Amino acid sequence: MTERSHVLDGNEAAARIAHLMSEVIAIYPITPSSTMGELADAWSAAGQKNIWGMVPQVVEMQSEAGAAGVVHGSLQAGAMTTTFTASQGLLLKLPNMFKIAGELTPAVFHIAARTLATHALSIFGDHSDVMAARTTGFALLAAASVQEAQDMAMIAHMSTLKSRVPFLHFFDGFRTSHEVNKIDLLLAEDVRALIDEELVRAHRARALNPDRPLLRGSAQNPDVFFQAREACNSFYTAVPGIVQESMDRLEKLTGRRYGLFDYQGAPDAERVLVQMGSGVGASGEAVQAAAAKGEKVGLLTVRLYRPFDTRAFVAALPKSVRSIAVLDRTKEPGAIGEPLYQDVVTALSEAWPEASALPRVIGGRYGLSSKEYTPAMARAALDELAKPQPKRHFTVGIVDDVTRLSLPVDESFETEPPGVTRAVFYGLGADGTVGATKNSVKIIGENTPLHAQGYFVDDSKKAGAITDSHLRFRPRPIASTYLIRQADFVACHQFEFMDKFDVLALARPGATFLLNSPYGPEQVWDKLPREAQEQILAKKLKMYVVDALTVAKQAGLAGRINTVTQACFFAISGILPREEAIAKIKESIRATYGKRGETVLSRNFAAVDASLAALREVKVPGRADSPVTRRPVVPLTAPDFVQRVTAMMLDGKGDLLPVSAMPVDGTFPTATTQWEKRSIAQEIPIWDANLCTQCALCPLMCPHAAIRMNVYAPEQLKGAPDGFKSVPWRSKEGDGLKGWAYTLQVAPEDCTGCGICVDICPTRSKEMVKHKAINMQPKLDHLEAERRNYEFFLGLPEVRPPFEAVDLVKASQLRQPLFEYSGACSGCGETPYLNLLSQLYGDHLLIANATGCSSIYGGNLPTTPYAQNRDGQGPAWSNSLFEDNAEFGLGMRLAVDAQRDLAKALVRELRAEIGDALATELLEAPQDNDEQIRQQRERVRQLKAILPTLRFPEAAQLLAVADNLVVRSVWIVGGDGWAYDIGYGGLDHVLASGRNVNILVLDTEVYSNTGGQASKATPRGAVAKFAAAGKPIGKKDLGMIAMAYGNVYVAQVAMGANPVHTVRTFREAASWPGPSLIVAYSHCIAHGIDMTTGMSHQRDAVKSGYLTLYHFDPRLGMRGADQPLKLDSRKPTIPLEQFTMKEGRFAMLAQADPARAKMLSKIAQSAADARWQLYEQVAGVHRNVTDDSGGGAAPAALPLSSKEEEQ
Amino acid sequence: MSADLRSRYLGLELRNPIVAAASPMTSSIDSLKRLEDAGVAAVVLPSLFEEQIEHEEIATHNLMLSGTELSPEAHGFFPEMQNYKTGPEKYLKMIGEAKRALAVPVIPSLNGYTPGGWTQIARQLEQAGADAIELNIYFLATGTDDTSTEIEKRYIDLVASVTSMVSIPVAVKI
Repeated sequence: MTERSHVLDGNEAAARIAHLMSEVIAIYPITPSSTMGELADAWSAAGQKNIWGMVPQVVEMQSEAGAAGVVHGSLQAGAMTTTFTASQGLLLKLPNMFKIAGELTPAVFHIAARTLATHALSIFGDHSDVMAARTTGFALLAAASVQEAQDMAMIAHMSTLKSRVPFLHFFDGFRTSHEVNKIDLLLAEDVRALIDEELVRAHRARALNPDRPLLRGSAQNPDVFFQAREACNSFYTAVPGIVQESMDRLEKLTGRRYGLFDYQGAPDAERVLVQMGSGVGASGEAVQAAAAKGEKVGLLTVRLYRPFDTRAFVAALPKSVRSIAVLDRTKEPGAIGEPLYQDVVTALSEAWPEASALPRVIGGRYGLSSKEYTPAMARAALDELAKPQPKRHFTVGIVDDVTRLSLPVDESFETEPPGVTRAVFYGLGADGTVGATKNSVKIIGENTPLHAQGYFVDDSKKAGAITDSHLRFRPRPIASTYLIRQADFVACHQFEFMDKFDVLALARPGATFLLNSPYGPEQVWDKLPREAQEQILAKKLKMYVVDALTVAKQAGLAGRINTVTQACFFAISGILPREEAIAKIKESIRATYGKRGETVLSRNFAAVDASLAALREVKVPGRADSPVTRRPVVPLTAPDFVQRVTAMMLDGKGDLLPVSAMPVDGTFPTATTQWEKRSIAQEIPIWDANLCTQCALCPLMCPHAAIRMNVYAPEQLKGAPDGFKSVPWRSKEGDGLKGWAYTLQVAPEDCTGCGICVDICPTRSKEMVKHKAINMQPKLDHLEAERRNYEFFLGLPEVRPPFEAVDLVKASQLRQPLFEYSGACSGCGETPYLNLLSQLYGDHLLIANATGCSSIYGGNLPTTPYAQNRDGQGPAWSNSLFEDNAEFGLGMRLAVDAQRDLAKALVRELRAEIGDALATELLEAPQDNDEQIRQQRERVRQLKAILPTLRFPEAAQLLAVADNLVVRSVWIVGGDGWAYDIGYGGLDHVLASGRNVNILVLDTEVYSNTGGQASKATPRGAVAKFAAAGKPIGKKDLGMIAMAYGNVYVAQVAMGANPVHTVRTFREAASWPGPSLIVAYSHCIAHGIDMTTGMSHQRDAVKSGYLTLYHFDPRLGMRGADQPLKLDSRKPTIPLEQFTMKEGRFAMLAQADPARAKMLSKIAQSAADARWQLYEQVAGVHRNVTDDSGGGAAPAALPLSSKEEEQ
Repeated sequence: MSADLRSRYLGLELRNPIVAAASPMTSSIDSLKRLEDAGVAAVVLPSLFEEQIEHEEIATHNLMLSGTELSPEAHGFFPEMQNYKTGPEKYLKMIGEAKRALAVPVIPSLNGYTPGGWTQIARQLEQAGADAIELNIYFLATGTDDTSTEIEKRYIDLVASVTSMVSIPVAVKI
């Protein structure tokens, strides 16, 4: 234990060095690298200095491409500059990387290596991103552990200065970036000692400087480009020597030895594995275990991958090697083999001594997208090498039953060294389990001689997500870079997990089990499902319970059970003596939460003190006799794909699925969330039918489509379950539903319990206090009845009265939502807009969805919320990238239009055979409402019945594109991160295209998905990451910019403030035959609000002038003197602060820095007043437009050329 | 001819018997100075509510914790601030500023409800330069089982614990 001993994760380890070594840091957040940028920002905000005594400037750009531009410019002008990124972000930096390397500029990019999006996106780790950068001319240096993430960072910074070659320093995303481990720190003075100031001066001397001007970035011609390109050769040949020299200097200072290639195992090995990155931890254990038994095997770890020093590589291998298996953590379809494999083969062919026979080399892929890589898999590769005819190319860690490349793996092969304690904790996202477990690792790692490792596996859902924390402790360093399979201690922090999955699967025989249980030691046994009882008995587990919820509540920390469970873990595990453990926990609480005040500390301390008294051992009875068994994962009525594939994934058994179970091209069926039935709500809304005014606001605003309404003929009630509620429908003249019945129904197992429906219900009882037309009540009291009711409800027919006959909101809510039960946060502000979109246009809808929250809750496996109606129609959805979403949607529009035009042309050609009447109607009938669309569908059905009987090639052609004769609504959906920042260029171009696309911006005013970084939509005075002192600049007015085109329909909506306006706007936007842009205000957890009041709170946003609702309809402008801009909200009646101070993102600043908050608030109020005046005036401007083209509004519906018109 | 209005209150020498009581008017330095210029002999600052401090701290804590660990891409939604400035610091700072700005006595007012809270903060008020302390005991006796002796004892115990901790005068508002 030294002062340098510290527990942190890979991201922090690398970021510390980068911050010390930089003057300018330009970033863009992307998982799993975002933390590095956030830490750098926080350190700079706290005034932490680099080794030159200055605080690094940190800027967040609009995209990684922008960040790369800043980095290039900053380097060119002589500053020490760095950046952090991964995956898609690295791809966006490529053009600048070629330039930075071509200009021989010292720089280090730190990469938390992550999968590139191919058939799917993945946030998890592998080497596909860094491999895509290997032609840039950057050096590639790989770290394999948290210690190395620091040390290689240092070596990269040292080496780049000396060699002038820029470095990509990388470590495995999540496996290293998010693993917490104990390392030896390099302090500022160490970093200073390792850096040669002369080299820094040399860098500055090469910079752009008008006092000694120079020019870079010239354009060159065939006469000299080639020679100039070759002029850098000696710099590259020098790199390996320089890197080794840097490694030697680090060893001198710290005692830690590294080489370009490091070998471990038998000195006379015949079979050797070659690998790079965290996988060497697992492979190392397998090789050590085998070598200890006398097997002639070894492992070569690659650190410097580019430039690849062939001689050092050969020198590091034992002379005895006969066969080599190279393990690549990437895939390059179409290549002979993966990159590291190819380099090894080439290196051997060039540098292996000619006298001896070349070793045979085979290449394998492993670990893509953080697929587990275990010692058993390394063992499998070694075994393959021992075969007389090993597979030349293989995969390991999966079952490939299609091309049969996978190696069989004996999972029982264990190499966990003796003396290690392994603990697994299951928690609910937001109950604090992960934070507490990280703290436990810190406490043990920094206060005992033990080494500690923590790794965390997260669920993909944003509400009710399960977190697994894997902890190891032992006296020696821990390099086990794989999940625990045999735990000595298993903790379940939420009782309901026992019912949902196999919590005890990882418990080894004789392990200890801690359960957070509302039932005491005598009652709990009977409440467990039979499967759990059987496991406890079979594995002879020692069991404890603690009622953490009650202890936390009594201590004044409602819901935050983590402190309690953490104290119990220490008490049971005995890792530290009880008293000492308590003291250390309190110290760590003080360190983590101390800034927040004495109350927080005292309540947490009280919780800790009370925990031990509440901990109870359970005397396990002899019999597994519970009447309760675990629920099946999906109902037996689910479709085949769902039962075979989706259910496995939902049950956490996705790893067992073979290649053949997967779609070949990333295509998945929709309508799968309906099978999940997550049942995470504690309370659900129960309808008081007689009080209800049938306003339809609650189904409109429900984020999960878990409360719905229907109107039906009373005969439909036949067969309804007892207790199914129904009242007469409050019919309006002309709605055609007179005498019909009405039901409002909750989906009890899909509801997340957010309570928004109750909050916005306008109808209060005059008799009962706090009683409304719907009220939250304990789910368990109503579950069975409402389950039956909901099933019956879903069988009722859908009716679609015209929008003119019923009010807009009611008409919209009578339509089936085709977006349901998503994994969005409980109370999400974005999803109600998507529900509405799916209700209005879902059956003929194509969606281009940007990366962000909406692509995660919209398309994160195993299930997807986009659904289908009874005829099997529904939204067709795709996520391409982040930066290209508007263009992606435009592409869809162009394709649909091209096929529609082809279909029309073919219909004209086949007019005689189809029949004149049908052909004319197919070509000319309007499709402006539901009935007309239905009729066109019917005509297309008829057409498709006729076509196969015709013997013309055109008929077959037409059959393939006939569906496009039914109108398609193309919507481009994304958040403010996409629309205001990274995708803005494309968005702007699509707005300028004049094409009929509808753009929906779900504006949460911050990067919600990646954890709250500021965007250009973040308002003045709000606190966000990269705007910790409150954003000084106001929000970009995207709507105003779009209005300037004149032919774009633009609107600002806020459903909670004006629901009718929202529904009307969606319909107007869709009907405008040109580009439309809707900016939809979406409340979010990142605003620091009580999500239950998210919708009603929007009213204050409008009342205070924070938001101005409006629509700009070019059609209005066409009618001569009319003005297309119409304001839909009134002049502000309350000051801005009355809205902003109700939100944590503003109030936080008012507390932490009252003077600055006041200043920003004043400016914001002034800006809001000015904006209202501007809008009011623009809306009131009298225009004198005398022709039909409406002052520039017309081109939307114009053909793009006269040739098109002829078609 | 001006009358001699000098008075004594809490052992403090006042130039007249007019004391500005706790109110929004005594909540800013500007306002306090104007009161002094207008002739008040002493000022009582607005009550510091122990409950308010607790509430602010827990609300800040809950805000920082909201949404943490919600997804592998977002481990939290807010940057850790340098200083949340929760707790009585703002109030203590104001006492110091008032003492520097005014010549007349400055008397902070304290509303607490736990014995620990009272004595801790009372001591901090004294250290910040308070000339005296006003104890704002607002206890609603609604328990039908509580005897009058018990209720009175509660007041007496509270006062006793505060006066044992500080050496400046203590006024009690019942």
